[in-house]
Amino acid sequence: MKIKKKISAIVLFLLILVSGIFWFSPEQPLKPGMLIVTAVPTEIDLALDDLGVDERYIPQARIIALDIYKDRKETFILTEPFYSARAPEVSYDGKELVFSGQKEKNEEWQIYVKDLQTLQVRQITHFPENCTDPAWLPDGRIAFSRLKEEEGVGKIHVLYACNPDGTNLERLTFHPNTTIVPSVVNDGRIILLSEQKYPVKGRKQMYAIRTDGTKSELFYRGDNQSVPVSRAWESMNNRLYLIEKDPGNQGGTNLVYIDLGQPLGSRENLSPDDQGSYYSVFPEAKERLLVSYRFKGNRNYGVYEFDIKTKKISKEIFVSEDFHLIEPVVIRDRALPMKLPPIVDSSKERGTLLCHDTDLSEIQVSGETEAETETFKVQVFGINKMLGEVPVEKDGSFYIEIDADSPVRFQTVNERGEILRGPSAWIWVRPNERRSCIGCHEDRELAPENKIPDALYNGMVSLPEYNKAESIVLSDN
Amino acid sequence: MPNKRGRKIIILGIPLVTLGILFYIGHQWGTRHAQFITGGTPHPSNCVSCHLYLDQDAQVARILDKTYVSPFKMLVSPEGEHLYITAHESNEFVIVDLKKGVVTSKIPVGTWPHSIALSRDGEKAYVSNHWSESITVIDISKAKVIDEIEVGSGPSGLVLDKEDRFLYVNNSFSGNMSIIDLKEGKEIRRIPTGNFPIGMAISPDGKSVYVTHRRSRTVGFRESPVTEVVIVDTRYQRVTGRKEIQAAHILENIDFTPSGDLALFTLIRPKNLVPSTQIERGFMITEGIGIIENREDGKIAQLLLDEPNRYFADPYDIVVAPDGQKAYISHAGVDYVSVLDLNSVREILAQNDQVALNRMANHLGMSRRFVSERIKTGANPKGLAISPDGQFVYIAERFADEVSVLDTRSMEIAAHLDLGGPRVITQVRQGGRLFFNAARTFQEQYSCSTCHPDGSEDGITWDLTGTGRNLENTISLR
Repeated sequence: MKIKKKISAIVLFLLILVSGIFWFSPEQPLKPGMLIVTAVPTEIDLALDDLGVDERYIPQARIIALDIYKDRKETFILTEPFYSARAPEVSYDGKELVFSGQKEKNEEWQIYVKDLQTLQVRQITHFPENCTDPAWLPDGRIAFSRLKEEEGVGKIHVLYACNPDGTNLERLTFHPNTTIVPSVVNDGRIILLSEQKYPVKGRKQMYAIRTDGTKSELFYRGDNQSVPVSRAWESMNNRLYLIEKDPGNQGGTNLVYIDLGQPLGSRENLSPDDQGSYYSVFPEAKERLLVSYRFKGNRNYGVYEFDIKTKKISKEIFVSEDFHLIEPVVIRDRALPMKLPPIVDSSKERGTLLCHDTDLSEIQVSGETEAETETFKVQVFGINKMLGEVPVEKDGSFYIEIDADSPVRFQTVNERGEILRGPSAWIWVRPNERRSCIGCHEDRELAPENKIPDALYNGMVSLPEYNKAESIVLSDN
Repeated sequence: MPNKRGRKIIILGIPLVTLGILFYIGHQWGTRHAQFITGGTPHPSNCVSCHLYLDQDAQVARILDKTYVSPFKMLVSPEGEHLYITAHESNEFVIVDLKKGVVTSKIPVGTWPHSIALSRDGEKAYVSNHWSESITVIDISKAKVIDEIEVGSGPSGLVLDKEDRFLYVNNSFSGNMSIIDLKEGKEIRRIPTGNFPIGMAISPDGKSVYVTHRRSRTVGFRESPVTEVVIVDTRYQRVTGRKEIQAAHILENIDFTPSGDLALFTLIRPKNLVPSTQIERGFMITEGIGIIENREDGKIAQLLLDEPNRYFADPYDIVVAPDGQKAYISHAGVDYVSVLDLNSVREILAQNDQVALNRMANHLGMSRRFVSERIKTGANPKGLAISPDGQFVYIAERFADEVSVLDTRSMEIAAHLDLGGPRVITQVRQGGRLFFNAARTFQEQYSCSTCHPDGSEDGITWDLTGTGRNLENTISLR
């Protein structure tokens, strides 16, 4: 009897112990408010130059976390088995971390998600090519750039999105541009950095697209001298912070912000006289930024606090003699941006484009008569071929139906057959998308006039109508 | 004679068949009734959908619903010590002691009190009762109604002439203006103005009354709206001018600069003819101000208050500071007040001819040049009032039952005046907050009420199919 009681007591004790272990697990190493940064060995030369392969796939980088409010800077390596990892972003609920990683030295970079509570890592993409720059989308999917060989264009980064388990893969950009560092802003659109690669190299510019790849439009392009080179982060006060490469700055880069409401007319340089160099920025609070910064003459980038009011580095957060510290982010939940309703209908293969007035343009053409200065027809081009010519209505409008997910651009021609404007930047339509444009290289802050374009009365022109690749004249070649 | 079983069948069967017939007839009638009321094809709603809770006069609604204050339009007393408010849901005229920051009187008036006019000595207030077809006259010192004057249908904006002799009242629903001789205490003349007159202001010299309209005058099929600002000469009490505001409507309220050089009013520039292929870049709605230069050959301009990626839906009221340097505009759809630098506006007018100004009317970047501040407010800011010294702007937050006090020196909200509305937010109130707020549209470009002002309709047709065909009328939701 006594033995039975003892056994019962031992069993009860073990049960309490086990349940205690179960319910009271050790303190989580990763808590809200902690800083996450990418640490890159000092001997690696970091540059923000070309949006090329080297900058995206930095060797021997690791993502680490630390509590910046503790005196003793104890760090946790979050990507321990990886050969290299970078580009961290915390999910909107603050519970998961998405990053780009390379498991072994000779393997491709893929996208991974780490659960910040269980610390489990799962692989999201399994491509034979490199994938980088992941970003959470408001609908729970993940956008990322995939380095892809495009026929007739070469290797470019293309934007994709997929579910957090890797399913439902969808391509979002279709122009011959390299496209990187997507980030989502509060109106639900993706802001990305893009540079035309075909047929000639273009300027680095920021574009906005919806999360289904529709309605792409120019968002921001720097001023005359500087060009955006980093991921942009939205702050709580409707601003977008980013780094720009500025040939006029000896340090090489500037910290700037733009107002989300009016990105093309609100640029402010926060570091006009700064001789140091900025690599990345993260808005921690309304008036405070975390920046990855290197003082003039220093070798390493460290993480510092930047005071927006005084426009100065105000505090050292974390520096290391052995590592550059870049891409700071903070573990916290964030407001979910707007979820925009999907437009794409994958059962369709075509989309439409309605241009309101081809002669509404900031590019002036010389001439005295209407036959010289007004658009008579528009030539529509795909990659290496002409898709057709479209007559333009008296009010300058035209209306076409084209293949979805194929890049097109335009050239306007007068009655004499002379080229007036173009070729334009590349655009595309998604399946079932109905796009509109107000003009041709027009003022990007202009809303449309309230009228029905004449082209709508006459029905749309379906393209391609014929292949005229041999006879085309493109002014940028 | 049927047997016992047969009788049972008949006894049970007759009521069942009768009930079935009654149900069929009732259902048919109910379907026709629902179609008539909603103007739509059959839909899944049933009798309970409308009659259990939403009907404001129903017994259930009386138990569950609350009566909110819902401050609408306001005026400050001449000495700046009191604030007068129309409370459009509680149907009251509210007096607030600004020194103490408390409500001192709530005087019952007609249904949906709209606007207020004050006598120069500040002793009498005239309140237009939008749904009662009357003007209530209040003795302010006694906090008592002393008269009620009949006017046309839907009285809204109203002003007193310089001598406090004549009261000019917009009749929104009947499209005309009542002129009341206050000596005789009755309407002496009714003159036609336009389609849904709503806002009204008198020029600083007292010679003209300007009337804004909510709806476009009649235009051709597939033509852009043209809405009028009608000028009434106070000497002859006749319409002497009609300013056409092209491609705009919902000209809600108007105010003059103290020198009278400018008349400024809120407006909406709808894109109802533009195929609705996208919302980006103002393809659905843009919001702005209209400006009339009051001089010979004076220009008429429209400037957008929006930004290329951020919209300020439903501009409602406008007040000009006593020094004529700034104007304040409430945006009911996004809970903001915009502060305008009027010298920048004057500069834009001086630098551009009428053709250039017409081009600017669609430019979303113009607001950078003349909007100096954006002030966040409480839910659904409607009427604005400014203290005589210009230091404080009072903001009627309709769905918060509060008045916010903006200190114009710091451009920060300095105080909130509680008007004593219910703390509980009912479903109907929550629905109102949703209906009148643009937060659920892309870049907050428009709210439900933008096309359905006051739950009604904007009077235009929209190309919602994006093909240039099948233009649709906006229907009233009442």
